[in-house]
Amino acid sequence: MARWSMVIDLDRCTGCQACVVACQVENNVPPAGADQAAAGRTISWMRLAPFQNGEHGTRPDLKLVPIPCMHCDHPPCIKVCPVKATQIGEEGLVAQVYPRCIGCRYCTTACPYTVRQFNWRRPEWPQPMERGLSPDVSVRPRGVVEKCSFCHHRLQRAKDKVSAENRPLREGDYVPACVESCPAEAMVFGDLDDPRSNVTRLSQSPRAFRLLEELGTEPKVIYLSKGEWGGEV
Amino acid sequence: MNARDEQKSAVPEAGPTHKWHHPGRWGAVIIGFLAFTVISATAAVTLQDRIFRRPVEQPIKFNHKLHVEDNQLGCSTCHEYYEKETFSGLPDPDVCAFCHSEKQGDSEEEARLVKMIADGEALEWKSLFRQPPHVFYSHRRHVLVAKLECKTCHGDIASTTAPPTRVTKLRMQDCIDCHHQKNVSTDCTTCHR
Amino acid sequence: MKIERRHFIGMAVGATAGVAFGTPAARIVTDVLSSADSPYFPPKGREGFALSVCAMCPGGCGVRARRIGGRVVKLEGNPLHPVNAGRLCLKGQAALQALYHPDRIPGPMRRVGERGKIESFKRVTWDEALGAVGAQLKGLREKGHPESLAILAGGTTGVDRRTARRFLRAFGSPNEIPIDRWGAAATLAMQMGQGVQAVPAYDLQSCDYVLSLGSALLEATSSPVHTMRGWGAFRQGRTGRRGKFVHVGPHLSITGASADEWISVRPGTEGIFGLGVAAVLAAEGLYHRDFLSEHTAGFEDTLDEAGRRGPGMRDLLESRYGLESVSGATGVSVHVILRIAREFSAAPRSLAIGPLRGFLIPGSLHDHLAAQVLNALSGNLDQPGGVLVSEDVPLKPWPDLPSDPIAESGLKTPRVGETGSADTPFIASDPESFADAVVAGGSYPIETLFVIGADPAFATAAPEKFAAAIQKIPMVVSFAQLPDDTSLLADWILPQPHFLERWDLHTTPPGVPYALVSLAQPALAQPLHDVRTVSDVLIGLAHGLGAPVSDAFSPDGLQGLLRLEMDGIYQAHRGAVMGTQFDEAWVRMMENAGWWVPGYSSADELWTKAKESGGWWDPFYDHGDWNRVVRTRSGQYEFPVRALAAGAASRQARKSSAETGPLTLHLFEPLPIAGGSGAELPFLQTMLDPGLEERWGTWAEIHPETAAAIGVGDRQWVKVASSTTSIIAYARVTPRVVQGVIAIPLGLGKRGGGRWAAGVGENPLRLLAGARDPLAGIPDFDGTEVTVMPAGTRGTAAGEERRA
Repeated sequence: MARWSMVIDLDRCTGCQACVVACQVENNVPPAGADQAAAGRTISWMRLAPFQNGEHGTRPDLKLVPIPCMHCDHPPCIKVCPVKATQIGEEGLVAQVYPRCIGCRYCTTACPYTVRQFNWRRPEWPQPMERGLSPDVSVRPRGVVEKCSFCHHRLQRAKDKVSAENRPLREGDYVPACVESCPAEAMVFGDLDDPRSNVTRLSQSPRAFRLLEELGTEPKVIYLSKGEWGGEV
Repeated sequence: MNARDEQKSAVPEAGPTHKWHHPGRWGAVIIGFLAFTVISATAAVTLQDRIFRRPVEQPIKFNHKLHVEDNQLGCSTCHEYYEKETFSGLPDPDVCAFCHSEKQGDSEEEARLVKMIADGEALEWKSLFRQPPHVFYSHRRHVLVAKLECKTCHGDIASTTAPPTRVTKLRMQDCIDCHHQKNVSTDCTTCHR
Repeated sequence: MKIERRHFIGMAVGATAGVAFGTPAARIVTDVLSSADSPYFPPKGREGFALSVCAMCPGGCGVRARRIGGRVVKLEGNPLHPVNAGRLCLKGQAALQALYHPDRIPGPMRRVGERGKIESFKRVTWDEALGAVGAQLKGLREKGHPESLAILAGGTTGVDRRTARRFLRAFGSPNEIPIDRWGAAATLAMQMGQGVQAVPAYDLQSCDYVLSLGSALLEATSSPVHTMRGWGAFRQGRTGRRGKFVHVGPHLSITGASADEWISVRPGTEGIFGLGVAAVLAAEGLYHRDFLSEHTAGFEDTLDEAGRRGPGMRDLLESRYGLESVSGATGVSVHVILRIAREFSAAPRSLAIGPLRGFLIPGSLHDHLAAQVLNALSGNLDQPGGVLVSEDVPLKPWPDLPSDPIAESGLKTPRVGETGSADTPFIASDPESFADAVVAGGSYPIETLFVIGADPAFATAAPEKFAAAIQKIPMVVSFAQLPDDTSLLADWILPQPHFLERWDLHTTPPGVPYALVSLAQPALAQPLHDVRTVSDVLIGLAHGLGAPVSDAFSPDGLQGLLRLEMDGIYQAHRGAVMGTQFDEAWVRMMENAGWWVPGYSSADELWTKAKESGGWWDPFYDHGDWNRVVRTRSGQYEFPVRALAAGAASRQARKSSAETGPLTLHLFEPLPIAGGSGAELPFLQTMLDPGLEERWGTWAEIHPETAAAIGVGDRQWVKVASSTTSIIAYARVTPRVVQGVIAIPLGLGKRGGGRWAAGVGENPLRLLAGARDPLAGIPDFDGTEVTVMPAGTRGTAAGEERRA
């Protein structure tokens, strides 16, 4: 059974945000206006978080870190969900089942990476923008929580395709939209249980670390960076 | 003080205790109202199709039995993608015109079809089996890999002589039962998108 | 750096507005029932793909549009395309929002009311629009003044530019006004040093050390995805070699944030810093001796025929760029200058990058020359990891034009607003000088103006002046997709197709060394609106004018034209159709050995294969082909001693005035809205600056000490006033900018551009006072002095007025 994982090389990342838009277009995120942005209610499953260690405001050490859902092996969000709307699957993907979600938002609080977002409004697409909607991803109604799915609809399609071609799933058959788009080729996706996969190789790099490892969430998003930062938590 | 007076004075004392232990008249009304609301809401949700939706009308009263059983046509003649794509596909007028550009029999429906084809009218077939929009289902995978027969989900549609007028909403429990039975994953992400 | 939980808690408050107490029970009734029927029906049908070329910027990435049932639902990079290899940047990803934008112009429009409002325009037929424009053009030629037509063209490497140029020639006007001059200063530097007219193509992926003199390398230069792919390889693409990137400049842009080191210098002194480094290299002998002696001229002092001594580059560096003086000018300590110089010389392959500042800002010529001097000293011209020159694309030239006395007389007239002088003969006219000349009523009047792929009333150094010029021209025709600022002032708007709705043939994007041709095909069977391409319109107008103008274009229309151009590729007998990495390595290896293995046996086969793969390219780059990359009179790279000596004076002057009183305005272009486009799309507006989390508005970055001195606090509205006008911006007090500078993003503050762009933010280009680069003559986007004062807090009158 695969264990899907993403590696993000911060040494390669340029902070261009292609992953952010690729995700929004792929996953039917509605266009938000200035008013929703001002209220902090825009939806973005992938975002760039600024980590700025200014030493007394002199030399800024700014790093922009792409943050998708970590798809933790021990996700805190599923423990608090009262209706089992979020569950971890056999292949390690933390799924969100929108029709079950009652919008209590316990999970948004439980997630230490703050990647879960609540739909405050009914999604709207002004004519003719709804023509760009993808049939692979459901449109989320108002009042449910959503988050990065590692584009699991692409896994569904990939499995469908390879089963029709009567062959096993190979590396590269299933890649989320953000990874596919990344111009600096900073993101790699694959199966952490496959000893020959690129993610396994990179996860063993001395540059590898994970966010908030001390919480024991066992995130499956692995970051790479040159030594001096991120190593110590 | 007579018995009547005693009775009178006893009532106010007994009142509060009665209210706590037994639902009074108002309590009964409230419970009844709640029950009514719940039952009618449930009924509205489960029966909304039958109550609110008009029956489905197809452009032509297609006779599956005549085509499939009598003329031995395969499903893919009209549903051309059911082994190739996630969806099965509904036939374009071109597909019908392959045989029906001229009259083949003497049914009234066929005459209508021949005229529609000649006039270049579109055939807007209505889908009769519906899944919620948050479900990913692949015909190809279920037909080619799992080798399910059409009737497993679609019932006896192949032997109907006229199209059903009600939409069949497929239920998750049916999917789950089959997945359990065949030992297929029931992960949320296997089907939900 | 440590990452702690508080980082995320802060983010949660900002990004998701915390957790409020909801009413789940009430929601179940209202939403679960209503969500059962989504009003949005995703498309059904078979999956298909169409190959095209992204036109959101000049980058020229190949795209693959995913189609479901006749609708395009996603754009991805074309994996076979050599520019982006399947990758795509945020603008390309957002291009679907442009295709399906609700405010696109539905058909030809004619202005019937006052300028400036879309309501003043009336929908007309193409026949009516082209009839009116055609009659006007006919009149100009009948009067014998074809030069009264001007075409202002920007945009990409597509066929429309080539058609427009040919149309003007055939019609008889010299007035082609280019607006995309982001590479103008860099090109000028190449022209002066190497005698070639090209934007430098930096071979990032093969070098080890990059010194960026103020460039916005990772935001908006050349071909962004190509550059970022190179960056990835530069950083982590080679085992055991990690490139180091040093960013020099007054502002920590996104490029600076990705750099290994930011050297903050006073504004306008990036070039001085570069020359300071060069002076150390010269003094310590840390330069490539063989390269200097074989391929350069002017490093050492020269003697002319009369025996007079001419100072060389070494002399200039020694006399003007001593450590102390550079340190004093730039504010960088002597130790840092020395260290950078030694790192630069010690790296196996080091590269200096000039101030490519964005798609609108060309950067100063002086600083580009400084970068070039460093590159010459390190001997990296046309070497792997150095400065390359793009190979020419062998498109078949169009047939000669027939002789035409009217056109010939028109072409002899001088261009309107010509700015070239004896010192800067390479610069042609630009939109600002054109606007000046039109407003002032130059030597002859401009009667008709076509604006193609550009928005000069918004994105030039003098937007207001251009708006005034438009009102003086009797007929202004704007070719646009959305009603931009220029369209709203024009007389006619001719709607343009989105790149997914048309055929096109793009040549090599700037900054990419290989010769390549990308074929764009429509992804939609029918355009969404009643649109026509610039080429179709101009070919139609030419045919309406009759011979000899109509003879300029074959009657086959656009596709025939592209097919004809491709024949040149077949006849060139080199290169291959785009393919996998294996194909690429194979072709390169064979060509290196002098073989050409054709993957196609006829022009038709090439065309068919180009349609299937995305185009043609030649992966072989011939390093060290000196006759091609150095075309100066001496045949050697010429150190620009005279120009740098002249430029030094002006650079020093700016620095001293910036130290007193007013702040220096530093404009920058965030990638989402670079080039003055992008604000139209809501996805892009929401991500203007991930560092400061600014979105949907114009902000101004000020250093904490400077802010304290002028009494401005973080997240306050400020009024920024120059000698021309003033704007309101949202102050962000941050050490990301040096003292004495106010950094403001470009790309917001449109009057048009649809519902998401109009009225959002402010256009800081209005603050510019018309200064020009003293060396290049190009408008100077830097160094404007502004005064900054508080204008209330968010929610007060000034803020509300700005939001309304």
